[in-house]
Amino acid sequence: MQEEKSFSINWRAIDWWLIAIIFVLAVFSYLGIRGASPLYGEDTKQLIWYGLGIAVMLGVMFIPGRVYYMLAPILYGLSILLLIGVLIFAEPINGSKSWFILGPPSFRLQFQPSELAKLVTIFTVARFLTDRRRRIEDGDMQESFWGLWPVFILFALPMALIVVEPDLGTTLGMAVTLLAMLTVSVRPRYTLTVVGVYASGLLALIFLYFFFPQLFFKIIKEYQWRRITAFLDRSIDPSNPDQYQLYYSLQSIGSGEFWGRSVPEQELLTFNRRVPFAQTDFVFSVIGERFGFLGSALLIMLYFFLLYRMIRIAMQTTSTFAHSVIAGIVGMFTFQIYENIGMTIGIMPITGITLPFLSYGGSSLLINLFAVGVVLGFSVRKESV
Amino acid sequence: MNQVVRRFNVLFMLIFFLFALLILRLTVLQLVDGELYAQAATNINKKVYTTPGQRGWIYDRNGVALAKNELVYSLSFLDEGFKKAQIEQIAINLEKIFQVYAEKDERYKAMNRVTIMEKLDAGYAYVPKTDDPTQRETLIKEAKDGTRFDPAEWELQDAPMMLYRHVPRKVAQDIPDTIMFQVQERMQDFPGIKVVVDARRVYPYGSLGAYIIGYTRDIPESKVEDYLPRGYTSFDRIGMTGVEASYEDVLHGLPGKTDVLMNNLTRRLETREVYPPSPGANIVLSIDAAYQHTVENILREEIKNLNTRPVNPLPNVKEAMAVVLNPYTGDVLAMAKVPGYDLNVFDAPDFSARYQTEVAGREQNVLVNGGYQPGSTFKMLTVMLALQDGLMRPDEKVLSTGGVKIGDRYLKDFKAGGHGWVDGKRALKESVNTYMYEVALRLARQAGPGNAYRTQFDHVREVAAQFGLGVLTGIDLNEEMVGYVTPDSSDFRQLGNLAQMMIGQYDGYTPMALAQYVSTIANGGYRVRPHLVYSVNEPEENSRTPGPPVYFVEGEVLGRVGIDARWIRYVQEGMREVTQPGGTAYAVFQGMNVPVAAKTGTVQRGTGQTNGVMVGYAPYDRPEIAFVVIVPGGSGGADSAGPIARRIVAAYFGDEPLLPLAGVPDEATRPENQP
Repeated sequence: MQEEKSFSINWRAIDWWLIAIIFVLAVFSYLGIRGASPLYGEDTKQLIWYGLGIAVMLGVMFIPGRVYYMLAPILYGLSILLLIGVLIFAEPINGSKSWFILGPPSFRLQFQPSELAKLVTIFTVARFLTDRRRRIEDGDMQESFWGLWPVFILFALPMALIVVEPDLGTTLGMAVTLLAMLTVSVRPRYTLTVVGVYASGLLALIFLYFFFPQLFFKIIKEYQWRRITAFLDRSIDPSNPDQYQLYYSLQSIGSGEFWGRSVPEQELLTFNRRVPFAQTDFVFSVIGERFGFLGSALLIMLYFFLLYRMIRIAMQTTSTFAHSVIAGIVGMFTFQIYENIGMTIGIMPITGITLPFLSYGGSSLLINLFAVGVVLGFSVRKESV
Repeated sequence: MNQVVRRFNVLFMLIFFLFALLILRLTVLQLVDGELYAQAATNINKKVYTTPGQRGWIYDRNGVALAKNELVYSLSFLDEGFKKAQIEQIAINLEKIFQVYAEKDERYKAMNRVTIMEKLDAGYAYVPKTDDPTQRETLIKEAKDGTRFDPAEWELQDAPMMLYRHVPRKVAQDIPDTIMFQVQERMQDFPGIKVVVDARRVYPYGSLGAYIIGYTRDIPESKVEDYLPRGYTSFDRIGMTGVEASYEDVLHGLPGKTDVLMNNLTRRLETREVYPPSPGANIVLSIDAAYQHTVENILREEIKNLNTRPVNPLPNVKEAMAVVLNPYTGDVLAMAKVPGYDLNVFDAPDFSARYQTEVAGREQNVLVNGGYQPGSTFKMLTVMLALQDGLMRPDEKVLSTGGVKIGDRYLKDFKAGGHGWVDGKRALKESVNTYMYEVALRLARQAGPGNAYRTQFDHVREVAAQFGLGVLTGIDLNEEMVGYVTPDSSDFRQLGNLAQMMIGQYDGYTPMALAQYVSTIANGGYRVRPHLVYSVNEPEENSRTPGPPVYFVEGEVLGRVGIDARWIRYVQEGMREVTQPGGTAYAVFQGMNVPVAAKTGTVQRGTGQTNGVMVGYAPYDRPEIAFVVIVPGGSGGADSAGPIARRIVAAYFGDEPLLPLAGVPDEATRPENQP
């Protein structure tokens, strides 16, 4: 009886704003990808993915949070297996073993297990935090920092598997996600402790760099180091392969000025593919060049609004599970948006992080829309966990 | 519950902060610096091509082309976004074609894939596999000079590009027709390679006027940076010597400018010619090629005659030089040194071999930068100086007894027993040294007691400089230098040397400087700047004629000498006497139709050898030419330089027929094109 009830939703409570934002992002995504003059009709394909993804999102809305709560351990185990599998079976693309390639060459589907792992880890950790909260409220356990050890293990396992792919960006994203989840679920000083651990890890790396460089370069790959130095180097030289992408990205975004660059399309830097990966990682360069400050700022506001709506939903629900999940999803999106846009405008080092909802890529769009669907689901019913 | 809201608010604040950073950065990027980025972005896609304009031709005064361009084929390469393997295959295919010609044409000997890859400049380079530095060096050296190359010892690596990707590279210039056909027939084997029509500099008369015309070469690597801003491309050639060098700015065509809009894949989207290339201006020289040719031939024949004549043969005479000027306008009428060299050697397929045998040792333009002591031909200056300074009266006679003791040295007259009592004119006529020594003694005395005479060296030089001796004549050649200046140390400033200076055995001057000196005497005291170029002309479509003149290079008076006209007249008369009975050059010019004024010189070179020198002008009463002839290793001036001078004058005034011009056959420079 109660099960049945949890599948029914309160239509009035649906966050139509959130859904509207998704539709506007779909338009941005289409224009951004088309502006990069993709070779294989990625702009149209992205629209198809959006259709599929929105359907999934709306469908997911009907699934009660309980389901993820219950399935979390199984999904977690599955995604760990996939992460191990991708390391063993995948062919490296751009030097990292992050993708499974499915389907015939004519309609190639690249699936990134780490995308799934991110979301599933959020569910699993949320489940743990929910149980923990209940036990503390029931007086079964004392709140303590060390009691959080399963959280760290649950995050550390997929992060370790992802960092060896290597995919440093996603790993860092998960680290930020962890912080976001802890922020809303545990005492602030525990979160600050984790921040302190991150900071001392960073200091340790800096120490190694200066005193044990050999060890340092065992941990940080040479190409990663070059990206960091290329980012720190303020004089940007287009003939330096590590700065080439950043140079043209800054050129294209900067030349957008306020209204967007008003020259024939074929003269746009992004249109004639001066900026590599402009339909995926560097899609923001296209937006910046075509739509200028107006369009870029609008897009950033849109993202901000999206995150705002999600946090609003979190604030309106009483479910601890929902709080944790939404905090995780918000943290995940925030990191990706900030890192991706930040790297295109030169305030973050370049990593392979895509811009959620805009970059071309079916599997990540599906997962992101799935996540939004989960959040929407929390808004339309009173959660039982 | 409140707690959760508060914690979410913290999260929200952090997000707000991060997004504010993004907006802030965008403000700077797009609003503050946007305009700069927008300007730069326009230039990223727009590339400017320059197409070199044709180099101007060089003609003689009658419109005979002495330096021209011939159309040849070249191979150029443009990377259209090829993969590494494709580029390697292009290099290997080219290597195959070129190696067939390595036997015939040494330029292709070193055209192995290593050098080809370097010319393709596509971001790759072959490097030796070995790590041993000395072995590496030998391998590189051998591959470069084409002595040995084994592909197994090399591997292809990434390398920085020298030029932008969109700039076409020249792979091979001036290729034989057979290579051109092979490449065109098998275009699919050579993607990115194009056969382009190119110009080759040709000197139709070979060595004719080698020291006037000069030659062109590729811009030396060290100077490319200097030339690029002036509109040159890295394939351009520049004049290295002669008029080719000194009129580089005139001859060099103005490059055309084409804006090409292109995308990242080097595909051209739109081409817009901003302005077409314009050919360089043509140049008309003041020389008559036939006369120049005749003078060169006279030098050649007379050297042979001196080497082989039955009486007193001079086998050591290897070279001879002559300069003929118009004394009033400064027009260079002939400027020759024999042996010269074929200007086409520098483009020849067998360049290095021919350079060794035909050019080495002859390249220096000694006509304008060699130092030759004038010997007795300096005596006009001595006499003028003596008269001007009041050291001698025009009718004052000095007794020559065959020698005079100056300081600790006994200086001799060349005529044993002396010339008796001689005045200045007779001193020139018979070339009396004692008269000149007396001038030296008086000059020293005039300065004052003790070592005061030492300042008189500077005084003599100052007067000589007014005639162009010891200074630049100002001829339009970059390679001009002042001859040889004896060092100013007191070792050389002995009284004896002042006497030597008076007979031209002190400083050395260039033949051109001597010509200016003689011209100055001939025209009554005006130093005129000699010039090789008569006019600069507008280029014409087919270059068959020089085209309408743009401007003329006029004779320019550099100065009036500080010698009274009567004293110049005095030495003119003395020089006329030289060719009269009893004069040192009487026999030389005997029976000529034109009255000649001259002066002989015999320079003791200290090695026991002498240089024969003859200077003069003709006709005596209305000078049209001033001439200088120097025969290093010749005997007396009259004996060795005399016959040359006579024939040069005769040829100019039509008493000796001019030799018809003989062109260099095309096949001589292009053996591989022979059937």
